[in-house]
Amino acid sequence: MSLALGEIRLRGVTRSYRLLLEHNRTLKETVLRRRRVRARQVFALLDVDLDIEPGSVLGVVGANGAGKSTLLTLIAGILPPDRGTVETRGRVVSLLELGAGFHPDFTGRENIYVNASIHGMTRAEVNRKMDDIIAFAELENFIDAPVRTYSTGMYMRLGFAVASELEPDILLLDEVLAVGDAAFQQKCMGRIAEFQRSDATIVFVSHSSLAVKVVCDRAIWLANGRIQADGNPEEVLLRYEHGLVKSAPAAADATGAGVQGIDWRSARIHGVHVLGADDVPTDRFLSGDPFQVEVYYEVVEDVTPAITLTFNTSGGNLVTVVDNRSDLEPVGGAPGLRRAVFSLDQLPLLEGRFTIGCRLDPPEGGDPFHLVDPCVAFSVFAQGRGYGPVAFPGRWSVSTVVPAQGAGA
Amino acid sequence: MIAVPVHTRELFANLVKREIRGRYKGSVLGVVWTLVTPLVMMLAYTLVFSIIFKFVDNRLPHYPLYLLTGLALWVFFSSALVTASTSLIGNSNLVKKVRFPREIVPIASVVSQGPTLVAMIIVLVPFSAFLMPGNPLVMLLLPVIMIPILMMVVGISLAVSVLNVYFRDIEHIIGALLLPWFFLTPVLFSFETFPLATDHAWLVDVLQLANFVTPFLLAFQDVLYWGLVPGWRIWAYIFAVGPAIFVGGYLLFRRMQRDLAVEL
Repeated sequence: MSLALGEIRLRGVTRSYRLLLEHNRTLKETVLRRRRVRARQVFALLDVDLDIEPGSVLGVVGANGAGKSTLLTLIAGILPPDRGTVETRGRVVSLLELGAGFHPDFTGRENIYVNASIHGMTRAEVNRKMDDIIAFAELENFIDAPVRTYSTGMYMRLGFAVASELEPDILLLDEVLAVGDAAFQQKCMGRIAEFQRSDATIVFVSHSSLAVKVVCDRAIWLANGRIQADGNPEEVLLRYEHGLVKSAPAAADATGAGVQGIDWRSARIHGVHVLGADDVPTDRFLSGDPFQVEVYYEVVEDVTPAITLTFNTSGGNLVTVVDNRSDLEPVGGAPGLRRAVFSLDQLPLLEGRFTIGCRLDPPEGGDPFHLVDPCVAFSVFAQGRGYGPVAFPGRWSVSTVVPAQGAGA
Repeated sequence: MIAVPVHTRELFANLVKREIRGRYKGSVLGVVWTLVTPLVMMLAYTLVFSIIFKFVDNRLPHYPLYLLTGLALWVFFSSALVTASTSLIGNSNLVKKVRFPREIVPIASVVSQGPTLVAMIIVLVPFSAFLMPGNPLVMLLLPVIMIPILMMVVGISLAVSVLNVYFRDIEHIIGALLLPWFFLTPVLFSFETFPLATDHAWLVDVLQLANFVTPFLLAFQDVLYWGLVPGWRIWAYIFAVGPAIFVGGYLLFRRMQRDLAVEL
């Protein structure tokens, strides 16, 4: 069955690497220890079937080593699969590395010719597009200087500028947008949107959930060489980030597995839940929604534990820590199951996936009774109110300090 | 088919240009250096052999010319080998990140040695035509004998370039091998004037046949120095061995290039 222009089809694709535990890098070693090469086979992709429609933008997410880059190198034809078939139709441009093949001693202009020919553009085509490339890279004043004098940002801009003029049918992007300043990233995103309109198929590997959400119309989550989730980017990302939370090193449900508690016979966490409006448990919030964290814990001995909640982004960055030391209620020392609630009228988080860790401490300090981090995860959606993890509920005011001359008076 | 039509010729030309320009960029004399090295070698060997060792042989008239002829080909052969052996490693960011026929990388490093060879031939031709008694018209055969010579050099270069990715010793082995190899190849001397040649003709045969570079060099010297049409044995040898080495090197390259992106 023939493919449409820009279509990608993978059937039963398996690719493994030999992870050499002792690599014979030299001839002598190979000759002398021929039979003693110890290698372990690692499957980067395992029996993967994937159809990518022409003109679609597929985001690929997954942990490091999940097979994302292998997928791109296979589609690009840089590596053959061990088993299965990879079929593509049209000009495939792989931007696995911006500025691959730049020669430091050549000028920007000379490198444009070299780099463009690497990606299959002819000299005549380059001549036609030279001005556009230079303008896009914003290098008008430096284009005839050797690229070794360029800053990293300039280097990357030039690499992307060349690549973006290639008019590919299939464009493979590997984390390339992680470079450059915000303004340039915006520009790259704009260019990618243009590709999209021109019906190019784009496969996009990124660790940035935001980029995948903004750019892609479909996403897959790769883990252990297999596609774990495939579909709408929001949902796939949610499952991926949920998977991240689950597989985090200290991961545990709140029932005791993975306990880092030191003395959990005195007090232990039983469950932590996040609740939305009307006290309904949920894991999705809009920024500014009412928000509650509910902690069930058991006090076994005669103690009054202080509760600490740690909010992290799914990437592991601390957002904030709250505790109830300042308003510890003397519920009394009687053993039993307790429920504590931390409430916010308006959730001041803006966007992203977050985790909460919970800790029970002796009020006088010392080793915690019980610690589970993370114990629950939830997503917050900004609804177009901006970017970033935190919402600042501030106000702006603008006033005229010096009126323009001749205006009014 | 996953074959993507790539403008390979354009990329090839750019790789060659990059190799040559990269080599001389920033130096004052630039491409002139390509001639300086062989000329210095010629002067040194002339000094050592004809003046210090008094190795003056009437059977090799205009000895510096003989030397320069042999050096032209030897320098081409040896520097092609040396640059080709590290070419894939040097271009690893290309090989790992872009899809294109990888054989053009070592071939580009061979071709990038071309200007030196051409420049030396241009210098040699008038001297030889003027000084040597042979028929200058024989030099028209040069393009013909260059075909098997290039096939041999390209074949060897393909092989060493890909082998060196898997066994990084290859580049060092080549470095160590080239000097003795040079002395076993009739660049400085000629088998006809070899002191042993009359008593031990078999030894000459062994040296000629075991060292596959020799027949190619003999053909080159015949045409460019002696002004003689090479004998049929030399024709047969270079047109059999040249293509054989090319095909062998190419097949080896095709076989081993599969996982280049992983091995680099």
